[in-house]
Amino acid sequence: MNNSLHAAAALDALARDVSGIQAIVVASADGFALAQAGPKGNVADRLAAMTSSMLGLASALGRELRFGELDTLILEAAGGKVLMLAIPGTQPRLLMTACDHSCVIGNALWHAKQCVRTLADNTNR
Amino acid sequence: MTVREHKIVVMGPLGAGKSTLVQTLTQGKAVVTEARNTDPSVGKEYTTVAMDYGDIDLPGGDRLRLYGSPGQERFSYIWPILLAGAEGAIVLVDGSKCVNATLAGQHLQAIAEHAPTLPVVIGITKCGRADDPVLPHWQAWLGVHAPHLPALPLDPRDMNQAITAMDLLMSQIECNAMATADE
Repeated sequence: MNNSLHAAAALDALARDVSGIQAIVVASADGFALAQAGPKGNVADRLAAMTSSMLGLASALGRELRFGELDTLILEAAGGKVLMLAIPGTQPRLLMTACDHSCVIGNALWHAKQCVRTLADNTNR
Repeated sequence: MTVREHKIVVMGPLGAGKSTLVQTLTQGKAVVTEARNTDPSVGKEYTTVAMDYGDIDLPGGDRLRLYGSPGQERFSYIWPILLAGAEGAIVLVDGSKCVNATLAGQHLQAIAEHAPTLPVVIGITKCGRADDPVLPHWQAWLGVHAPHLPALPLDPRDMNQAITAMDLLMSQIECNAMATADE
């Protein structure tokens, strides 16, 4: 299976395993959308840029507090939850997962981290 | 004594020197949010993805809060956020670029839309020595896109030139404040 199929399979698994998925976007660290899934995939370009900004700010905060790189952001709003995770590798990328209020945050985080592991293993070598 | 804070935003297209200007003015102490650039059309290793931020204590007890914006259009959602509450902006334009290819107009447009009365100074970068006049083709561009704004050649690495640009902006801010008070 090639890299892009691996990525697509990993995103599909995440969309299947977490309830209430609205959008999943894989972005480059500088904010280009590389892959997407979910009903709101049509705004992937905008979500990719925003994910890049948010994790850029989180990293700056981590350096300011001397916590090291912060690589996970969890946002909760009345209508849903957003997870943003850094995908490690030689070409660092980002994973954004947005779900509606029906998702359980711990479950979403566990599956998103699984997805990050798969993406890091399969496409960053 | 109350400390007056002045929020200033540095805008302009990718590679014009915004992060460099913020770092120069804050003597390298600004907070940066840079990521490795993956856009092959741009010869730049890193790019700002959220903002640069630094503060400077001014003589007299005032404080300057300096925000450098990301340059690319995909980050335009953040421009109005940074412009909210700003007292002035410096818009940098890469003077080495072809005048027809510059994207600086997008930034001026964003200011016109979100902060129409904001005092603005234009800094033309990468265009030679500070005592050179602004090049004629850029003067024509300025005549179309920024006819009423002061512009100066600016090397963002040079502290004296950076301070000159900031002084010019502060004068603009004071003039606007006086004009508003007279109304």
